[in-house]
Amino acid sequence: MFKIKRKLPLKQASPFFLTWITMLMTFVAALTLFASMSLNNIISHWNNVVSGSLTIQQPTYDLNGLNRQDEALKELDVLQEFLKNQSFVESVHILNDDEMEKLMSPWLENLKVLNELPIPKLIDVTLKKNASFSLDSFKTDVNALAPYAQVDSHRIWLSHLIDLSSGIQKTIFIIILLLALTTAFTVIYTTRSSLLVQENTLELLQLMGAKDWSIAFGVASNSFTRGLCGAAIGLILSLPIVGVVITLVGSTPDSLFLQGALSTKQWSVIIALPLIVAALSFITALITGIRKLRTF
Amino acid sequence: MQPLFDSLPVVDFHRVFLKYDNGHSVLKNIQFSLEKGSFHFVTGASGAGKTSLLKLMYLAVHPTSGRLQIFGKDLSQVSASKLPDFRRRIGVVFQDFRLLDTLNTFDNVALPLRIIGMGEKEIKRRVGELLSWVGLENCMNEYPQALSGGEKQRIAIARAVINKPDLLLADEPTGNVDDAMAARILHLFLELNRLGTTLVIATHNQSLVRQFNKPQLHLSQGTLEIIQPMMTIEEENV
Repeated sequence: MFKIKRKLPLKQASPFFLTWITMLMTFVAALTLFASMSLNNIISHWNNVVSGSLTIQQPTYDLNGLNRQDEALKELDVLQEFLKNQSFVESVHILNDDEMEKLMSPWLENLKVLNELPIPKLIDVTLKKNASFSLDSFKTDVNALAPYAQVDSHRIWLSHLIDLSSGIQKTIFIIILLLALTTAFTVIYTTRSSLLVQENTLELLQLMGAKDWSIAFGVASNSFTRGLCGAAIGLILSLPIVGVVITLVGSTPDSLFLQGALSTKQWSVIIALPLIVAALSFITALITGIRKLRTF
Repeated sequence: MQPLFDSLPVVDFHRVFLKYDNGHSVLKNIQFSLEKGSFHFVTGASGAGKTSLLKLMYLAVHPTSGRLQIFGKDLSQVSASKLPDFRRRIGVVFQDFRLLDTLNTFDNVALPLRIIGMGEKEIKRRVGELLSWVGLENCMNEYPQALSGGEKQRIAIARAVINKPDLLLADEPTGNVDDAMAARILHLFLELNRLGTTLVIATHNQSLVRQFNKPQLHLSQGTLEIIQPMMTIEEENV
């Protein structure tokens, strides 16, 4: 089988076409995968954070603007006790003044006015992993203890952003699918062209008793080699761009996008792209070859 | 006891018709059998259907109708995946040689052996031996473009016989060689025939037919007539 491949002119009709196409496809696929996986990590992180925590606002002024600080602080203690006793709550933390200042600092030039503003007390509630509870009944319980308290699940704030990110992710998935299909069609085209150009040779091999699958294997091996070479070059070319993106993101002081850093497994997928592309080329060429040879 | 398949004809045509896609009827009601170890010439004018008859025998085309048996098997009952096993037992010398331009002499001749997966050491021995025999031991590394018509023909013959086929089909095998080489080639064929290879040679060369005095499958306008060899005086007396 390998001898046949080595000794016979079973080559692509357009030898460099497949190499160029797979190089281009892998280049784009590597960047797209990198972006997709990073985005996926960011979304997953957001999802974890959002679904794993709650914030309860305890206003120190009532709806008419009257100060009810003492009452509010008492309710805050009651709420804290209540929350600590809930089975789905991991931890409860009431934000102190320093933390409130830090939280508000991006929006307030003069932090001294903080005490004059009707800013509510905030309770940061961390939920247990895979916590299961009814948010509505939880809100009812909280309001029974503190009528002015407001429970924020955060999800509402971020849901639009998450929807947008999910949309981008779906688009990226479609792009990768299109890239894979384009590669497959390119392989089909080059394999068919190759077989047609070598029709006389292939017919001769068939007449000498060569089996269709072994001829197709020879053609597919060529596709594999060319696909692997092209994809490897494409991957190598994409790495500097990925490196620049990582450097730029890493240089930002408090970047939300740092959460998008790829895991070893995800890097393995990107590094394995040339093999995946080569395997796709091999399988496509093998199937196309066998089907085409049967028509000779 | 002889195995059963030895008694079966190597080739058996039963009311075979062949019509190409353009509607041209090439062979009509062909009926004959070739026993193992037999030697036949295929004769007839150009366009009579000699090459088409050989094509049917080397399984390049299928009969339009009728039954064709090769090595005792009805080909209509043989699956496409099994055809290579039959083809490996058939050696063919094509009229236009059909050498691969991208391979040198050695690799062209070695091709059938590589297809069956023979080891390189044995291939080297066999090919070297045969190329020496046909006088091309000095052209092993030459490519077909650099060779004369006669040399190409000898390579085509070497390639056809290298695997010691059970059935050897040759289309004008001596058309491009001188008389001395033609005689050598035919004696190689006779030697193979003596060892049990069934031989079918399509030729225009009547002197060759007379010289070897073998039965003829004579084609005329697509129909076949079997002409038995002329008996020698001794045979007549017997």
